[in-house]
Order: sequence, then C-alpha cells, then structure tokens
Amino acid sequence: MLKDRRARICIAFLLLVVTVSLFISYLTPHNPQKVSGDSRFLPPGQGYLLGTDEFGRDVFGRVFTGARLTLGISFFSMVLAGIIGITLGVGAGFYRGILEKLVMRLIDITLCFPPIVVAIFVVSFFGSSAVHLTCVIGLLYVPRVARVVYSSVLTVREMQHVEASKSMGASNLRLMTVNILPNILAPAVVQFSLGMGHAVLMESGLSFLGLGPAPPAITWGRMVQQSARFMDISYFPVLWPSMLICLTILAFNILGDSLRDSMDPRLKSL
Amino acid sequence: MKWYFIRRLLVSFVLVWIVATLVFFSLHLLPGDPALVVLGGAEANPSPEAVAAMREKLGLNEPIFTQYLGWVKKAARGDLGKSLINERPVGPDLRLRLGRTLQLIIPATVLAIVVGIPMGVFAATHRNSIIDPILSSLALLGFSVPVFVMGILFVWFFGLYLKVLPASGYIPFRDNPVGFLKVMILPALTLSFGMLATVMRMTRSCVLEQLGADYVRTARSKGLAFKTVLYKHALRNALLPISTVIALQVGLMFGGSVLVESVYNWPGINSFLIMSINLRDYPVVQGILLLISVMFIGINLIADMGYALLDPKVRLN
Repeated sequence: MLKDRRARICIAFLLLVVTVSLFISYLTPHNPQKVSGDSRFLPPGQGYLLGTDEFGRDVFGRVFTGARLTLGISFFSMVLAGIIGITLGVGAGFYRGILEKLVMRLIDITLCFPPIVVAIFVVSFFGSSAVHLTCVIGLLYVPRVARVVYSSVLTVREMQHVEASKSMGASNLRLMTVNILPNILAPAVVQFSLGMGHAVLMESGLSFLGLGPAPPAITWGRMVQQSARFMDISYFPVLWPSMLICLTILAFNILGDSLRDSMDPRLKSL
Repeated sequence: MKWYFIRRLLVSFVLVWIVATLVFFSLHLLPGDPALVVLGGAEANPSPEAVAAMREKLGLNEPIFTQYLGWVKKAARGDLGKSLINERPVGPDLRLRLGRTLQLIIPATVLAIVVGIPMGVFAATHRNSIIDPILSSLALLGFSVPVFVMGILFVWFFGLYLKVLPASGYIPFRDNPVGFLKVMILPALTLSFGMLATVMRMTRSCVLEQLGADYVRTARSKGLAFKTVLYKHALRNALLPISTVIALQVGLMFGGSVLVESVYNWPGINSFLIMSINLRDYPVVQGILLLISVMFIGINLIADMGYALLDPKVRLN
C-alpha cells in the first residue's frame, strides 16, 4: 500500500491536517472566537495567515479548530459503523438462516430512505449535538459496511482453514474472531476510508444546512454557510474551509481506492 | 417472468407499508409528549390548555393503534392531513413542491446520461492516451467536491464574478420560460455533477470489462469493425449495470437536492422539508418523508423491472 505514491501523499496530507488541528493553539497568536471590528475581511497575510472573516476572526485558527470537530465526528461515526456493521455482517454470514434474512431485510429498509433526509429529520428533532451527529452518520453507514463484510464472510467461511479449525473443535465464537475476522478486515478497512470521506461529506452538509453542532462550536460546513453571504466582499473565508472539505474527502477517497487496488490487483487493470 | 414481476411488486408494497409505519411512529419515537415537541418542547413552556388542544388536534387522545390505522387508511388514499401552521391540505402543496424539485432532477439526470456515457466510452477506448487519466481524475473530483461547495463556487463565478446568470431564486416556467431556464441552469448543473462522475466511471469500467470478453474477440476476428463491436455489442451489454447505477443515483438525488435547493433558494420539496421541520409542522414532515421514500422505492422497482426485461439471466434466477 505504501508503495503507492498517491496513498502516501493522501496519508501525509491527512496527518498534516490532524497535527495542525491538534496544535493549532500554539500555531496562531489569535483566539479563534475573538471578534474584532477593526480586522474584518482581511486578505491572507497581514498578521493573519489565512485572513479574517466577517467578524474579524482568525480564519486559520477557526478552520483548524473546526477540523477537530468535523474529523472527530467523522472518525467516531465510522468506528461505530464499523463495530455494528462488522458484527451484523459476520453474524449474518456465519450463522445464515434467520439472522441472515433479518439483517438483509433491515439493510433493504434503511436503503429506502435517502440518508441525508433521515439525518436531517433525526438531528432536527433530537437535537444537533456532536454525539447525535456521530450516531446518525454512523448508523446510516452500517448497511454498507454490513453488506461488504457479509459478502466477504460468505467466501471466507468456506475456506479450508475455517473447516480445519472447526474439525478440531473450535467454538463458533473462536471461528468468527480468530479465523474469519482477520480475513475480512481488508475490505472493512477500504470501507472505513471511503466511509470517512462520506462522513465528512454528511457532516459538512448538515452543518451547512445549520443542523450541525450549534455555535460557538466551529465546523467547516457552518463556516462556509456563514461566510458565503459575504462572498462579494471577500471570498477567502469561504475558500479555505471549502478547500479543506474537498481535499479531505478527496484524500480519503483516493486512499480507499488505492487500498482496494493493492488488495485486489485484478481491479487495477480496469 | 410474470412471477418475478409479481414478487418484486409485492416486496415493494411491503416496503412502502414498512416505511409508512416508520414514518407514522417517528412522531411517537421522539422523547416526551409529541404535542409538547410540536409546540417547541419544554423550554417553550406552552400552557397546559395549548398542549391539550394540540393533543386533540393531532388525535393523540385516541388509542395509538386507532391513530395508526386511521393514518394509513388516509395516506393510502393520498390524504396526508392538514398543515398545523396554515390548515392547508398537505397533498397539493407537496405536488407543487415535488414538481419544482423534478424540474432540477430531470435536466440533471439527462445531462449526466448524455455527457457521462460518451465520456465513459471515450475513456475506455482511449486507455493508453493522456485523456483517460484526466477524465478519471475529474470523476474523482466529482465524487469528492460536496454539492454545496460546487454550488457556492458556481454562484460566485457565474453570479457574482461574471454576472451572467442569476445567483439564486425561482421563476415559474409558465410566467417566463427564458427566466426559468436562466435560474434553472446552475442548480441543475450542480446537482448533475456527482451523478455524471458516477455514470462516467461506471460506463468506463463496464465497457472495459465487456471489451475484454470472449465474444468481443470473436466478433473482431470474424472481421467486424471495432466501432460496430463497441456500439452494437460491448456498449449494449454494458448498459445494463449502468442503468442500475443511474436509477440508484436518481433516487439519491431526491436527498442530494436538499443542499442544492438550500444554496440556490430553490423552493422545492427539500427546502419545504427543512422549513416544515423548523416550524414543527408535523403532518407536512411526515408527508414529505413518505413521498420521498415512495419515490425512492418506485424508482428502484422500475429499474429492477427494466433490468429483468432486458436481461434474461435476472428473471430466470
């Protein structure tokens, strides 16, 4: 995987964003929440690395403080989706029978609603805290993970090493965790990377609609939404968060594609 | 064949029923008294009389099963109740709003098909040239740029910088056809990008797969021109999986247009949803959720049936 130059660039970019966002308070002298009338709509430079927004706030500080929330929500939602999706997928693929039918039908039903519409509905009625957003985005991604895991389990469970363990008297739990799980992790990791891109898309979309964590919390989507009204005065406060949203999603998508290629060389030729 | 259609139709009906049930009970799944939630929650502190009146209005005093049966019966006849805000029946408003959203979805879909499929075929047949990686990178960009970022970029470039197209708003076609086209172009273009990228990528990989198949080699070796083989054989076979992807994408557009409508102030079904959620106009919210899901199920049903009609392998299974 690391032999792929694209993947290395993506990982380096994502690590850079995470590192800067973790140490942002040491990297800029300005408080990201501090409103100042004298410094409105400053272009990049002039004491502010990326300029200032309509309230004279430091965009550099805000965009990387926002990265924590956006990436944090995305990461934990995918952890949630991964845990539930893998459990359901492995269970359905291993036990088959009723559990399999139940999980498959459940997936069919969730796929009847456009995900963003469900997310809007849930968030607007239950409240739009970071925890709610994480749960909604995560749960809406469960079907995809479960489906991919399930179809891999169907092939893995027929492999000889599983049969060998079974004939030596391994319990079902041992078969699932020791024999099957390590063999389905590869497609699950691909889904995780693609899912991160999806989660950033959802989170920023919801915050753009004003349905993300409420201010003073900073998210990329809300930054874009609020500064978009002043685009004719200065487009920099819209440009930076938009660019980071796009590049982050792009990085996760390329990473996912490259992981998939490295795991399935047959697809590479296509 | 007949049995496949009947079974598929039954499954769709069951799905619609499940969705309707979920939509109905969603009000009751909310924490606390639904009447209180509709009135703005405990913080709004409505008077006990107001809560009692709202309970009466929403029919919450009846047993839940009676409420459920009543709602399903009415919904099946197309009666989705009245708005809590202005007492207007929900149905006609939904029809009007859905029409406006379709005015974006249909041009966006046509554009994605008309541009996406030729681009995909071109990329597949020019694999060793510089154009294929360029098109593939553009497709990746199409996936990765969120619609609202794309929308804002368009608003800035065409609306504020070049000043050639209106940045937002809506003009009914009947009042002013040219004005309608002008306001429609940007939102439809924005909406179509994600689908265009998906259709292109899918076309490229499907055509490539078909071109590597044995029957293509046979057709070529018996002397058929490459173009004939490409269009009459490979592309026709590739169109099957492509049509499934298109149907899925059209379904997803019903959700995706929510952001486009928000960027361009387009008064379609999704901006109606957001507005009604903010007003806690529950019958309207239920109606929209039901309508969007039914459209979603319907499109998938049509796609599956079309697939079965075209591909004997599916219906024999």
